[in-house]
Amino acid sequence: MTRRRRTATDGTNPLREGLRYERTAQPAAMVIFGASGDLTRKKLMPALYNLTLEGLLPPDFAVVGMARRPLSNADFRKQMREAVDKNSRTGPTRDDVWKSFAERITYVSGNFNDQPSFTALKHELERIDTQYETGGNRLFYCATPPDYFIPIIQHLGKAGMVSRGRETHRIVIEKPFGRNLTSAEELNRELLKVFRERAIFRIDHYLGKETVQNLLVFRFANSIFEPLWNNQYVDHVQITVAEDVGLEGRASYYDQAGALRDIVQNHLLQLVCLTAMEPPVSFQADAVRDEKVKVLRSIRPIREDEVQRFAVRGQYGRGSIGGDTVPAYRKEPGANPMSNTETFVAMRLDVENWRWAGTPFYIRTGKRLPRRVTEIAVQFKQPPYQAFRNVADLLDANLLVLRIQPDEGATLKFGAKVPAPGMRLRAVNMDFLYGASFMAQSPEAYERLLLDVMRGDQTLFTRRDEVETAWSLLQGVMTAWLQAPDVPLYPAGSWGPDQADELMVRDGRRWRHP
Amino acid sequence: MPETVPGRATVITDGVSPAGTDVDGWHMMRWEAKSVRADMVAQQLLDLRQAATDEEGAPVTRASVMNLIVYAPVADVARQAIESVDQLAMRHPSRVIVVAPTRGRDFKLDAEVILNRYPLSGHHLVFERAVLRPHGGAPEGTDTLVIPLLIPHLQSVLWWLGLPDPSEPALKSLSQICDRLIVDTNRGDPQLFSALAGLCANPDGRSRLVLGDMAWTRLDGFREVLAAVFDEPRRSGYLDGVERIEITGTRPARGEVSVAELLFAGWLSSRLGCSQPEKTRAGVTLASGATGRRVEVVFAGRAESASAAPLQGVRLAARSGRKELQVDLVQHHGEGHLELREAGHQLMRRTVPLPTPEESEVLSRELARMGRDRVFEDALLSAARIAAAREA
Repeated sequence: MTRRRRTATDGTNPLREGLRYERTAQPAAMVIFGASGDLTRKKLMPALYNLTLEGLLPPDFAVVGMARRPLSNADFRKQMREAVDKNSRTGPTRDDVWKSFAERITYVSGNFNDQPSFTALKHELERIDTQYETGGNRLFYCATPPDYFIPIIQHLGKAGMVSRGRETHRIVIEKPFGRNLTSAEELNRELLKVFRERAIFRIDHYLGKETVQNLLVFRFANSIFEPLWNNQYVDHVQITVAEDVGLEGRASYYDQAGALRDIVQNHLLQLVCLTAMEPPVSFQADAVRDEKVKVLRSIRPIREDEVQRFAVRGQYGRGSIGGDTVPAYRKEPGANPMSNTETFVAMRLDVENWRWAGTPFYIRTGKRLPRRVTEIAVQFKQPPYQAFRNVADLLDANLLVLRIQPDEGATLKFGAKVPAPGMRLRAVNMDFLYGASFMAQSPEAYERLLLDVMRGDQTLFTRRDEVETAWSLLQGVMTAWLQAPDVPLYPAGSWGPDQADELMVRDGRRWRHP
Repeated sequence: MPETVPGRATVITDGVSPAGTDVDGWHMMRWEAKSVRADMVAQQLLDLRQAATDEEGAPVTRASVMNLIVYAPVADVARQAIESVDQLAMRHPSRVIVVAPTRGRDFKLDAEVILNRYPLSGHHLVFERAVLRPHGGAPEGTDTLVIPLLIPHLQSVLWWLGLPDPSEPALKSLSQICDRLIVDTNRGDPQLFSALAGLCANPDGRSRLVLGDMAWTRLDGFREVLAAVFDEPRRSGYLDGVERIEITGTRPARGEVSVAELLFAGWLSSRLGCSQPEKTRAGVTLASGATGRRVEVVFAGRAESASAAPLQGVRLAARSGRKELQVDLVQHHGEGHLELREAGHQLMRRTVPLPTPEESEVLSRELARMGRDRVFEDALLSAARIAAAREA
């Protein structure tokens, strides 16, 4: 009568066809290490609840929280309900949905450095398999401080909790993934002793943002931009990840990390990759990641003796944001008053390949900058011949700005004639506001990424070589800054230290003020 | 609201927001006229847009991802349709053209144009809606009424709120200028299924018009939950051994098998590769593509108020080797109660959200989809054959 698509033997589900997702999450028990932490409360639980609300979690799915403090299942569920009430994007929590979801949440108290805790976890998981039909499938999520990653991985391995036939269960590792090349390599080694690479999900939540994924669509689903996307037409690229906030109570973490580790090594280099990469042969995980790694390998590492020329750091001093006075970094609650941690980084990166040689990428990020904005600005070259040079002032060259947040969209700047006798030119903007075309509430990055983990899709996760190459690029900068600890200050509410401007002026360019 | 002068723009300056758009800073401009020509309405759209500037007098951007033509031959239906479309103004900004015809001897056109301006991230945006009320006139020329108002180079979607009968002259006329047609098969009779299915496929296998159906989209929730049951590889084997399907739909008082019941049966049978429907007392039997055995489909619908969800429940019995599985999904007040039993023992019992989506939500899902929905086309064709077997 009609096309018949499958049989039980090919393992696909004919009822799934045409629905929102080609593949759904498999039944599983998800273990959250660090279940009492901020990430669990603010992101993971609200995301899991919203996936349940959308009907995207399989009916046989269970969650086990694990943290140090002793808690009953009932108390843990109560805490998680409060967290969802407070942090879910979908408005008031629906009692019926929560009830059905919460029934499948349990809690195990334990110490991540202690083997018996993992034995207890193992027993709990076996119980859950029977009770909730989770099929023996597990998903481990490390939402703990990074010091616990290796002990957790080792204990999971020792307890024999990882293998799943010839495969291994999945594990999600939060950033920061190491704090330099050596520690990232060590973490990878420990992971790979126990887990298979295709079961390891290194999360960078930036890649879960709709707007970042749209960058790939913008580049590779349109034919008009790609021919111009190279050193023949592009003068340079500026990528800005600016925050107006300060420490926001994350002093203990941030003081150890700094902007280079917190933003540059992951989010900013990811944006560079997505902007500079070649079209992937497909949108399969490894095809996309192969292209990203190629970009990272093409970037010329900054040697220690070049750091002065190509990299700038800064730390915010007292200043004002939105008209209000804000304290210096060293005066923030919980901050080290002698801290030399950088809260601002600007760098010039040279992508040395056929497409980009001679077209530098300038990247910058900072806290307490004048506004919150993430954007990629592609500055085109001047036309080869200035036909209007005798009759009109020189116009700015074309500029294409892709705004990632807050108001996503694209702006193309081009020249137009002012309607009047005589020839006067003016630069005008052609503006596309993504939000004006699609106002639908977009899912949180964590919803998308959790679902991808459950479905086993690694496209939006960082691969081993990607993480390690990114760290190795920054090695010279980290060493140089460690040896000369004094960090320049910039007033809160400015666009960073003067040295950042000099970095551009030296090349005859200047930063945009987005 | 100020008096409306025929043929003259009436500007309402205080932020009046359309239903469902609770946003500060809305600004609405309205024009209404009797006995006009369609090109005058098009001119008004242009004039209003040029008059709509921001506080500094700069022109504003129009937000439109499509032309949305709404055909509503009943006044009440037209009013509700406008409400639904207004609620979607920000999710699917469109140039909306409502055609609300009434019968009459001599042709006369009354029209109204509304332009909404709203702020977004420091910009101003407008979107427009024109309502055309033709009295009399030839329905086969309805497209000529609409063409002058279309934004060129944008996709055009027709939301048809009349009888979903492809032989209707106005439907024929409007589908010539549209890329996508959205009907509601609930407004018609299952006998129209096969004619509608014929719209999807031309003899050369290509289709110019993409067909969508509100009645089909209302079944999404049931389909999602049922599909999730068989995503689990341990259970997917049962799909080749489905023996009995019982579908309980909401029926009008007359008690005939409902459109939702037929579409759902059409979906399951086409996905499972079942064919050759034969009538039984309570439904049909179909030949299973996997085993060749007959699969029994029972329509167990019951009369409920028209506002009830289109499906009340689905029960599926299947066999895999010597194992038996029974899946029960019952809808109650927006919740789905799912129960799985294997060889009589309860495997699981879950409550899943299964809300009946509002009309604007159903429309929104339809508008978000642009390409062909082959699963729907298969289901519709299957449903047409099942309906025909029932009639035989």
